[in-house]
Amino acid sequence: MANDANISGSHNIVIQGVNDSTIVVKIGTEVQEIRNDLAELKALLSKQQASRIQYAEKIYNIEHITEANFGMITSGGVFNAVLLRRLVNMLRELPEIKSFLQDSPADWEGSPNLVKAAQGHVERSYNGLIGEQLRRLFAIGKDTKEGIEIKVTNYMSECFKTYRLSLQLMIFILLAHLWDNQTNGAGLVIKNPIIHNFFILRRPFSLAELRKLLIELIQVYTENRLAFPLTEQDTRHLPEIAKPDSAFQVAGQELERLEMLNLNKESYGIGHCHTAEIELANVLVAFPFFAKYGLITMQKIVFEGLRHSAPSYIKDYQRLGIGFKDQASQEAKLKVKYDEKPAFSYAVSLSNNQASISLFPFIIDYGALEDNELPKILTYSCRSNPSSLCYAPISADQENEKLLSYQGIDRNKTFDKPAYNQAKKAIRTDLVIKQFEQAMNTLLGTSERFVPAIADETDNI
Amino acid sequence: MTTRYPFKFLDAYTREDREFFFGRDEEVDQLYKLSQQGNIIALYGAAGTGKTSLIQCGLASKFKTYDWMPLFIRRGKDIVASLDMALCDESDGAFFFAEQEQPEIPDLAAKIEAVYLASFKPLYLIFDQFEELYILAEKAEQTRFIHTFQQLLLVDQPVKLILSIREEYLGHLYDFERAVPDLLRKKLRVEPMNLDKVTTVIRGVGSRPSSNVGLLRGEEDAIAQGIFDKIRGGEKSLSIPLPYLQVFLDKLYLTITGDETRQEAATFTSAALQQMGDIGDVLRAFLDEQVLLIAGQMAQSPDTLWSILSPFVTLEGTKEPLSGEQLHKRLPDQSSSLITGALGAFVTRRILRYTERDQLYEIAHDSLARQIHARRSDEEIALLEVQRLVKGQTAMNAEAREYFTEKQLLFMDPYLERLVLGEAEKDWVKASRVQVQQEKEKTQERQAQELTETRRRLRVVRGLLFAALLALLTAAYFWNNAQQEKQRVSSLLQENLRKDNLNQLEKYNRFMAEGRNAQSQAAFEQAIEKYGLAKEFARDTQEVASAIAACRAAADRQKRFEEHLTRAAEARNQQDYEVAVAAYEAAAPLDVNTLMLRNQLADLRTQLQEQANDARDAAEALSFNPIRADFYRRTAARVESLIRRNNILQSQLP
Repeated sequence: MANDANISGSHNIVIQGVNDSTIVVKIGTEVQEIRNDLAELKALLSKQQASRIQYAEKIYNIEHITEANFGMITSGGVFNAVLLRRLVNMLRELPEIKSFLQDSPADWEGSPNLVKAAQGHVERSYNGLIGEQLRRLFAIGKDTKEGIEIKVTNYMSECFKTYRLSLQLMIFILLAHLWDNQTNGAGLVIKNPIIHNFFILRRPFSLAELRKLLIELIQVYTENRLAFPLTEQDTRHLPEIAKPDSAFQVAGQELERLEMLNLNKESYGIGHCHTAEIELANVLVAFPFFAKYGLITMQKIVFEGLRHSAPSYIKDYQRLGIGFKDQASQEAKLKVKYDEKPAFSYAVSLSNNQASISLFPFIIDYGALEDNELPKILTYSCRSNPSSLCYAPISADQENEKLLSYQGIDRNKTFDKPAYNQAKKAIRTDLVIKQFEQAMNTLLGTSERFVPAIADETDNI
Repeated sequence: MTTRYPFKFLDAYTREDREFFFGRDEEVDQLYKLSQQGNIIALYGAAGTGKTSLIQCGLASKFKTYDWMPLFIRRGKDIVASLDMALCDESDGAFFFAEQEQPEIPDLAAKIEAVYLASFKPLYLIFDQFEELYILAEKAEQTRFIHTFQQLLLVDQPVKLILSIREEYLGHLYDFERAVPDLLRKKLRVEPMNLDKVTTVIRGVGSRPSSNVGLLRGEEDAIAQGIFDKIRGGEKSLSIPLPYLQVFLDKLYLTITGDETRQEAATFTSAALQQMGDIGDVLRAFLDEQVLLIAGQMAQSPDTLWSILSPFVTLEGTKEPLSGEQLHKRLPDQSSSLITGALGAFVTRRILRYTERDQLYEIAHDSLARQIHARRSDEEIALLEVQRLVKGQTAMNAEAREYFTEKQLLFMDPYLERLVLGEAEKDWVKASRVQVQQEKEKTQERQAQELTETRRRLRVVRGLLFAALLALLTAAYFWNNAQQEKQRVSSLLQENLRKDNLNQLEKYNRFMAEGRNAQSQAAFEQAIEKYGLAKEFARDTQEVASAIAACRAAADRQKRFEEHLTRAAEARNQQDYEVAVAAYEAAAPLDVNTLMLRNQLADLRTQLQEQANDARDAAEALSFNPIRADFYRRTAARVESLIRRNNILQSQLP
């Protein structure tokens, strides 16, 4: 923003208050409330033939206020304030947040320490995917070392990623449940091109395509009168968000518009961040149940069978993200359980005490496939070639997408131990591809087969 | 475009230097992968391989800034206290560090949470130069750290722990690994710089537009090879230490530009490289040069400056961070202004580094520390050993201290005057001397007592010995008597036995002879009875059994013989000579009474002969009656046939 736009002083057009939807403007002695929208503010000032406006102790030149910096002005330049407020409000019935709100003054947002604590509660409430994204958004907001331009770019990028992951998570839940239904004889005929494309296209879906896919899937459920996955209480509102004018759809479209912004002509500013933050909050508010489920990765299952005794399954699993505060941390995250019920190997499940759904092979734990101690969660991105699938890492880094290729290893033969150790990763990768193939063919009514890849393909693209 | 100097001299590369950090891509990738696979990573390698740079620049650059919150922790005065201090500093005012005698970290989990909530970034606790815990710390500090480390593994927030350690100290982690089994599960060795890596570094730095150092086009590989060869000198090793490379590159730059501000652009060429000549050991040359320069500037002898550097190096040749105050105490002969001036000059000349937070000076790199150590004389080393000995003891709690031994005091004596010891240290040496003297006196007293006691014991022993000898002689006397009695009784017994044996044998022989005699007289039952009696006295019952069996067989033959003869006699009485001859034929093989058989056969022959004569006579007399005459002729012929059988039988008898 230009230097002359934020000089200190007093002026006769003053912004008195701002909230998520409105701005209260005092013109002389008259007080007006307008929508929290730059175009409307500019129209008001134009009507008043004013070129400057005061907010707090600063005076801004309206010509220098753009969409990029509008949010900074109206939100005081604070990252994550709206997002945090909306999420705390949405999650206020969760015990940890309820307790926080009870113990904190009403204006807790004015206290940096309470804001920190609230962010911690919110992050902990969410499952590993969304919780990790919220952590990043909070971290970017707090970063004092990076310049504002980099912070803005990072923040926008992570907002889009959070939106993408939210869509993907919802899509994977619906697809996995639909697959189960079809396998159990639902007999659906799915002709929707976008659902076909999801399994077939050799490029990742755009955000808009993902949103459309989600809406289509919700419609498949409603048109076929299928029960939504998880509990009714958690998912009964899904038809509402599928409506074209729902807050979720509007927010999604706005985020998609921001992502498609031509950055050669216009660069992201703090105003964009503010908009993205508000819209992301709208998206997350559409899926409150994300915060009620943990993401569990089944790292290992060992069968233990003894003569004349019921067999046991020794399940070695891990809860992703940061554990709930009221549980001993390691106990909450890493568990080994003897269970007489079998479970899906390598499953990554959205789970709580009431319901659970495995999202494998749409979400996989590559760490478990590689026998690593720590999980490495990948989400299905797109097809790559007739042998391979592309998976995107959700972890923190600048890693490339993973290319998982079908090798067609014969699992019926007996392996020498060293040969098995060498082939293990490929065998497990084959499982991912075969599961994907099965899901695709079951859902689409096709009979496509992945073909074994040539040997020199790497697993990074 | 603004350019900057791309070399770091002896400093580690940081994230901000990533555009000039080359030759480590593979190791950075490996380290990054390890950091994704486990929560504990051990990075090890020789001194001067660039471990710190690999983390601080290489690994850091792999993360986005909001995914990486590194806290570098050096041991400082105490590693647990240093960790506590670092956490408190980053806790956004939630905690304040308070020094403790035996540092533990109170509220560790809360502090980690506070650090996390202050940034919302995954925390990477990097314990750099971790070998210091084993070089400079006591066992108690090591144990406290292991305990703290175990607690860190239990915290809820994302915390990763990286240990950077010199490889020769890996073995010291044995106890640590027992307490934390995953300690070395994810580890990476940092390899020294080989020619390929050096070439990548030189080419990379030379090609960066933002670097003020370039390479003469076409000579890139030759320059890299030349630098590599010059640094390794006569030693044809396949790698060179990184600090040597950094110091050499700095020297080459200064040779070309002479610009100590390092602002001017320089182009490295093979010719410039050649002009440097043979520089020998790069670091030694650098140190010598810098010390000489500083000595000149300060109008001091180089030895004085070496003596100021020396306390910063341990006896093992590693760095020992010291505060200014500690250094002053160690160098009481040097003036305060000299020490302060020298410290400043060493920092300026990048031989020493000063850390504001810990307020400690330390040698810029372990490679330099080794060079300083190598210059020490035997006497200086001995002095340091004495110093360590004294300080090592006095650093401990009074309860845990041990007095110096007489041998240690003798070793220390020549050097004590040259050491500046604190009151506590002096007191301890003094106390040790007193202790040694007291020990000596006690020893003498004890020896005297022992002598007296020994004499008394000797007397007692002598008395006892005499008594024992007497008892021995008495015992010998009685023993001898007993032996004689025993021998006599034994002889008697043996004689009785012998007699008894003889008696038995005699009886045996007698009964056997009687048996045989009876048997020979065909009194078989009597013979068997005798043999039965002989069996009672027999040593070898087999012989008796054989005799009885033979006797029974003879009795049987006798019986059958008599039966045949009886049958023959009856037949002869009835003049049935055919049956009589057959009975004699059956008796003959039994070989019982040949004489009797022969006599009876002779009688029979006579009888048969008479019978034959009578038959022939009758035949002649009855020639008128052919039928009767023929009967008597056939009777005569049958009887003659029996006579022939009788003759044959007789001839076969023995």
